[in-house]
Amino acid sequence: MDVIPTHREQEALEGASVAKGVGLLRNKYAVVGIGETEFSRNSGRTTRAMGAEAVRKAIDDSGLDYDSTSWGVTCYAAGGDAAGSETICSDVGIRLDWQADTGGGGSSTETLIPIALGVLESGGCDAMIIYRSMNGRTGLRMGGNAATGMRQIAPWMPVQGQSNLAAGIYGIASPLNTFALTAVRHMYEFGTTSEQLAHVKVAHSQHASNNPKAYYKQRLTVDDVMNSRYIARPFHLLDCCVETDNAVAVVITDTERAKSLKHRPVAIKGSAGRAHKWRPDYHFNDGPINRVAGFYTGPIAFSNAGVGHDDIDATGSYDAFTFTAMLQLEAYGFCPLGEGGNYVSDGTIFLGGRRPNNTSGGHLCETYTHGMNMVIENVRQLRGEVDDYCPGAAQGQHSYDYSEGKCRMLRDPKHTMNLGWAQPATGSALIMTNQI
Amino acid sequence: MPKWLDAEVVIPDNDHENRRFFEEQAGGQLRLPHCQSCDMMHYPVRPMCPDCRSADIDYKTVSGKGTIHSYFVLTEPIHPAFYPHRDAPVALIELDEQRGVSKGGDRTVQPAEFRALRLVGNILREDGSFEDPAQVGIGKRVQLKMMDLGDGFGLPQWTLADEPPEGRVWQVPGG
Repeated sequence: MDVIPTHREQEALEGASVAKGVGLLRNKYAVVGIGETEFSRNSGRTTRAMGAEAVRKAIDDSGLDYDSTSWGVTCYAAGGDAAGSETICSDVGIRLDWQADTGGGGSSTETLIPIALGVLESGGCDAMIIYRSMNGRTGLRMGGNAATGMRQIAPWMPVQGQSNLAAGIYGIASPLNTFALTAVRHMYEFGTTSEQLAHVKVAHSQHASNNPKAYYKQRLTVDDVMNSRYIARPFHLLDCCVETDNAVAVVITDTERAKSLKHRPVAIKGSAGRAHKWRPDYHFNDGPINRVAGFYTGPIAFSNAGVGHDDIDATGSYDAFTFTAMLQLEAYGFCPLGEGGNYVSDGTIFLGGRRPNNTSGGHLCETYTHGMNMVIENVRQLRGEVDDYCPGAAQGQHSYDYSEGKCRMLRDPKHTMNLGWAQPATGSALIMTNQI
Repeated sequence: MPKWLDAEVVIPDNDHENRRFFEEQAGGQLRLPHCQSCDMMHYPVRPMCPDCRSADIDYKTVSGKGTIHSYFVLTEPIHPAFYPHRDAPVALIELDEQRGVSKGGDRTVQPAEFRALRLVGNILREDGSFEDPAQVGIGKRVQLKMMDLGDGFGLPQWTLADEPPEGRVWQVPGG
């Protein structure tokens, strides 16, 4: 029997997506509150305490009333490391009309946004809180065991949803290991170099040097990255994101109400995902392994938003590693196939460049939140309220001098796009705008 | 209890697919799940054929020959079982028998984009130690080296084959 490609496969190969991306809720809902704890490598606190602080700050930032608002909440926890929302919302003293915590990790924020939109649109609640709280350095670390918080010491076992007996037993036991085969194939096929990837760290370190919140503010050079030790050759220590303890939260409500609240509304124009490549539990057999899930997610997000690449003023491409940011920007079509290395090293992604990426410093330098810190940064950019070192920042006055210790504010940004990454085969996207 | 690198391989009794896979390797040849309905092989094991959803799955012996499609060096291992084996090469091997099916469904046109057979594995030496990463490269040809885990389980592994590479050989920088 011949194997006939399915309709979906043909659509995907032709660059179309399966979802029609009709954008029914375009700009109908907006981010109205953001909050974060200190970003540290030794919080000395529980994920519960940090989560409650971030949620309280986000609600305060929104200006919505604690008692009279119909609240919904969703939290995501990779392997159960976060305090649950029933606890957090009890701590903060709000009653919930909707609640569902999810498993998660990278790409969760951008995925929970469309869930929130659906709940809000169907009248389940009037405002949605999304938060992430983790002791990613002192508690459960990436590559760790959820139950014990320790590095993996388990026997080789078939783990639900994961190919431990097809990958773990061969040494693939951390996100870097899991993603490395994809990135190396990109270097092989397109000539992408370690030096090109190092520019992602350089750019994000420059951005972080203008961010009082960033954990690592030191500006780095390509040589710094290249001289850092190998973790999984060819990838260096400084190709890897930081591990931190922190909590972050956002509040979403309908745009009409948002217009009467504290800040300029940042509307959700389009979203997508999580979308997957074929057989994401072991994705190596379908599609070029160096083409990541953004290939599928992108058309849905852009279609939902009704915008194109040239409309996007800044990106938040997930930088678990230098190469994840690069692979996604290419898969989403911000550059032609194979040119991701050029795109991230030719100045485009630097503040002052054509389309800056992770203007807060991202995961590589600011802090690690499974993507929420980059969403919050783009909210600040679209509000015009970036917290940089400009003396007039609190009044919204910025110099646009991006040299060290100065400005981080984009000039008149209108649209941002966050590219959330779970793994090469799984991603999500969020397009926001202040043009409403 | 079957073991690899001093850690046990634990498969619950009700996980028939995984138990069968490792038992099928015990004869020393690479045996892969093969759908009797659509004739495609798949990896890793699944409770049904992912291409046509048939439950009519048997096992097929393949040549054990392939090409390195990608790899990296496990410089700093996470799992303690690998601590004595720093710099182990971790590779993705594309098997000769199923190199991807083209868009038009014509299986004579390979390699192509979907339903390939690409197995993660380590590159070993003949004596079972991990190969020097300086010898490993994308494009190099490999052959099966089945490792006996004990208790009736085999683990597919790979050695470099004495064959010319497929096209250019590409190595990760820093070696």
